[in-house]
Amino acid sequence: MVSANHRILLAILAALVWVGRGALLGVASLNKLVNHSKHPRLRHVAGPPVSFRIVIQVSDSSRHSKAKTAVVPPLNAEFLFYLFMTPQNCDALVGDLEERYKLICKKFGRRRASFWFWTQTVMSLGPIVWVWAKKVSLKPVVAIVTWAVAKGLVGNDGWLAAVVELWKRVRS
Amino acid sequence: MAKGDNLGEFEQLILVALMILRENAYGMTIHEQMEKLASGLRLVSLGAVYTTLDRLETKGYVRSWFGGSTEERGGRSKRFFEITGSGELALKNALRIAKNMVLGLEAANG
Repeated sequence: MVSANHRILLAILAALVWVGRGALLGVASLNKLVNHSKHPRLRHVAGPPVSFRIVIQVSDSSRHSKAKTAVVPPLNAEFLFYLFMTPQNCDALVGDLEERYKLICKKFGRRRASFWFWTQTVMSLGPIVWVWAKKVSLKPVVAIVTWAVAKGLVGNDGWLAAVVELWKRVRS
Repeated sequence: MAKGDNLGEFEQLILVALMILRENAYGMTIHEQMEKLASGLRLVSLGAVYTTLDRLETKGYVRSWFGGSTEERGGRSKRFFEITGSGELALKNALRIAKNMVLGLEAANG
């Protein structure tokens, strides 16, 4: 017979495994995204295994001066999209933003173009993160909350008993 | 018609923009067209456009494909969109309802 403490430990262990798997998948997809990135300010450090590669911003003086003159949208804003979207979708969206950014930059200057870029990024992240959250994390969260409610209501893991108890409480 | 087949206001806007733009419908042009159609009455973000287009593609109202990469986009390819037959039908039904509402209001106000 498994005691309540064991069940809690098992649940925590399962949650840790799930989180660890998510982190590994995240690192893998991030590497994939960076490998596909065509941004001039991104470069890989060669050497360590793929999962531990570090992405750095090029800092040598010649490239820095080149970056200053080139019309390049803010890299940090782009990176936010790469976290929550599929590589192809992300490339299309960032390409659209970059196309418009360059137009605004030509007409109104870099500062206003950057402001527009950041405004669009912040406005766009809401729906994108919501869709991502629904797809990735809502189901486990709902499962954990339901399990916790069931545990709190009836003192055991019986789903049917929990529903019956909940129904009784709602009716009363 | 199932409940999920109904179009929301944002979805209607997107489908109208796709019908106007025809073969030149990709993220940025759709966004610009929607801003024109909304005429400042509602905010349109590019992220919302993409997520809604994905949803419409899942419903079968829109299809998409990737075009070639261009220099002004930093070497990134465009994702083009096109409305399908069922999408047109759903949009026509939604617009008919909207038209009926307007006519009903006009009749009530004399």
